[in-house]
Amino acid sequence: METKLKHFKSGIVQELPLQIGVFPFGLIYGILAVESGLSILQSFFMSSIIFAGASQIVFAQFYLLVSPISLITSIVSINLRHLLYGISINEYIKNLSLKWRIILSYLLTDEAYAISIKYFATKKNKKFMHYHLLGSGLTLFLTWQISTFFGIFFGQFVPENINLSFIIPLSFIAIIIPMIKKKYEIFACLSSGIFAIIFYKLNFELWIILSALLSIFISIPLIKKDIKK
Amino acid sequence: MNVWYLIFLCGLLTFLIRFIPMSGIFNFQGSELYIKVINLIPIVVLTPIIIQALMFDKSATIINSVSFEIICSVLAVLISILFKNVMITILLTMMFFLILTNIPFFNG
Repeated sequence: METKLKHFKSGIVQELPLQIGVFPFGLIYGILAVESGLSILQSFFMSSIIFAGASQIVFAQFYLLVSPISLITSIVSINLRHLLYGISINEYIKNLSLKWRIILSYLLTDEAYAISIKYFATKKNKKFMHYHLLGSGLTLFLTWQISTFFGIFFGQFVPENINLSFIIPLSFIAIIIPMIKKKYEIFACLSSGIFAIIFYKLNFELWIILSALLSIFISIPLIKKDIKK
Repeated sequence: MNVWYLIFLCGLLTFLIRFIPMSGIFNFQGSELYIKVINLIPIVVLTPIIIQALMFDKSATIINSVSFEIICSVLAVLISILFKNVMITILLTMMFFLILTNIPFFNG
């Protein structure tokens, strides 16, 4: 019990700093959703039904402008990177029940994944570690709901010059840099960055998954070389 | 299509994209190569997100000048190599970032 609680608390504590960057994003979504013509209930409940920031913003911006098929395709494309997150997390949750898998996959967002995968990779004892993802995921879920609420009801009072969004990429830097130790990891990191610049003009965030897959593909010879050592 | 249906459909698809790889249906037996590739995923997915946030503006145009965000990101890389601690990296870099963005001397 103590271990479960310890992992759960770690998830919450480690996820908290990222909320400084998540909160303004939720506010922006709330403001945009109401301005786009969605009802207050639709705007608010979308944050728990879809629970994916970029997808919700795209939904609010385009649901009146494009066909439902185009909208659905866009949202699927935006979320494709979660396939990779899922594959990666699956390595650590192989013994969990279906109920747990459903809960954790619902809570799997960029920020929760980034925090928890780092924790998973550094802990030797894997038992009850999924409570960490539960803690980080729930923290983000709550922040997202509260910030959406504030965006919907108090959006007009938010000053425009607040720039806290930098904290999200900053957190990701703080997470991935200590993970990079081997030559092939440096190569994969640099190549995915270069591919991101090359493919950035691709619509609906397809550049993320394309950059990731291509950089993995071209890093494979280096990984094989590392294994042979 | 009714907006509520559309919201639920998008919610279901978003959930399925997250759930299918975690469902246990596809449990690969991990060779060393497979495990090393899986461990690369956070690096190769989060790096493009960082690049997008630092190098591009809201109209998807590449930023030509060196911004405070880029300067602070270099600092963040150095701090995280030095301390290997997420919280320390965020706090120290954000302090520096807030100083840079709020002191008139640095803002011309």
